[in-house]
Amino acid sequence: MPAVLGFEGSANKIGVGVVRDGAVLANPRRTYVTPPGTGFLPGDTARHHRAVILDLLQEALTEAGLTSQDIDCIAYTKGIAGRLTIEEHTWSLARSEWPAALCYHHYTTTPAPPFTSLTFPSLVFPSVCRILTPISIPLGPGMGAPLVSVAVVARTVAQLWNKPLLGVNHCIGHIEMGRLITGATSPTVLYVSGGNTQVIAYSEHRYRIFGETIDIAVGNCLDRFARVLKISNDPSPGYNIEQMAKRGKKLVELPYTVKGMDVSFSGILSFIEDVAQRMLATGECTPEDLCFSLQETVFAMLVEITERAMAHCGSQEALIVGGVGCNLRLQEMMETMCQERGARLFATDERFCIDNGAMIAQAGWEMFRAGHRTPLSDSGITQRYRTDEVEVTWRD
Amino acid sequence: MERAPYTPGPGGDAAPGARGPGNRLLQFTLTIPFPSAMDAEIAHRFLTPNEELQEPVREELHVNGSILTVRLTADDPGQLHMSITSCLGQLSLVIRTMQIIMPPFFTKPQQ
Repeated sequence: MPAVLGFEGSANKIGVGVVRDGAVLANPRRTYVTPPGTGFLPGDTARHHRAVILDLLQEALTEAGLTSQDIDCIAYTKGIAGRLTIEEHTWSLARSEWPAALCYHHYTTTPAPPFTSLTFPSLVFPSVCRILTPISIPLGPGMGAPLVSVAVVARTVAQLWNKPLLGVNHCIGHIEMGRLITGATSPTVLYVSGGNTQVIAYSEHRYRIFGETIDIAVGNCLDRFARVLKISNDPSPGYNIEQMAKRGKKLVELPYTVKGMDVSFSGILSFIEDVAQRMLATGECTPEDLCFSLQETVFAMLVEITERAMAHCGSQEALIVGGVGCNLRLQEMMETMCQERGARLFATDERFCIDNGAMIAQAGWEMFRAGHRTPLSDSGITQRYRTDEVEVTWRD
Repeated sequence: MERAPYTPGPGGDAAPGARGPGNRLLQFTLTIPFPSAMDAEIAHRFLTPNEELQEPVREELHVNGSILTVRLTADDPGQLHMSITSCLGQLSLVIRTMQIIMPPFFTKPQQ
């Protein structure tokens, strides 16, 4: 009956969780909230995490009723998925042995969305004869300084308590917690958060990425839109957008950007950033209408690529994980799609959707039982830890 | 904080590898005395630099007896400043963790 202590702190949430044999014994969390109109920066976020992590550790052990001697393994977030360049995405798909026809032959020749400061110019692939949308920068969405702060404590605790250490992929943490809490057996997973947007399905000991954002994550799109309207970040910008959207009455047409199995949000964000102030000033719409329109558009895109993946796999289950998965409107739209397909939808509440320590502990629990260990020499962090890099030896 | 020495080569040109004026490497060195050599070694292991984050600021750690030495090297003073702040924060966190975690605070009393 191994008990695993998990540390998570890759973005503005820091959590320490304890899991033993499928039971979540403790899961305290703190969120670093910035003023309206601002986002969270790595240095400030790391400072916040360093200030509270030891209190959270003590809180978790007290809540679980355990001491150091009862803990069998220490798990921490080693990294989270990064956005790929086109070349890397093709290699990943080839390695996972999915047919190439699944990816880029569906791209259209519609103009690429406006570039943000983080995108590179588009490329033309002669073999496909299409214009591909902007290539992502090579850095992943994981924040280095917060990740390092948490890793340092995990490493210190593991050595002082003489316990094995496990570096966990953040996305796999979300998936394994989602499977545990909902009981979904082999779902198509929609992983949506401030840092990631991926459609994932399990096959032959890997969580395969069917589709993803080719620029920013859907949560990042929502968060940055919230800054434009100076919507409060407490408890989270996405939650406040959701509440405002419920009062929206008018659907404003926004760019809808699905490219085969992938999605793009930077163009939508650029567009709505441009038009928001003008439309609000002229009274064409209200902030609530814009929130409603943005949600309807981006969520419809996500439902489309999830449905496409389910159709390809013949899947009868869909699981939403990640912070944006808390959104009830997204769950409602996914439920409608699933019902039309005769499939079941699984989703968790904010305790487990939003980044938390127990999800890292749960993934660590699976890995520990399967014999995984992270040597001290490999106990750093990485900002480019793809979901399909991990060999999922704990599943058939 | 010390600056890397500027060493002119033959004919007054900079030696290979050295930086010219306006493009000097900046170094920050911090020495921390620990109560014992074992404590310094433990802290050294916990603070092992992350290879992926070695650019643009290079971090090196050395232990000599009970003294832990941290050296940060960078081109840009702003990045060096941020790294110094981060390094001091990590160091403080490790020391606080050692103080809290080390027995007898987190072990069951002997029966």
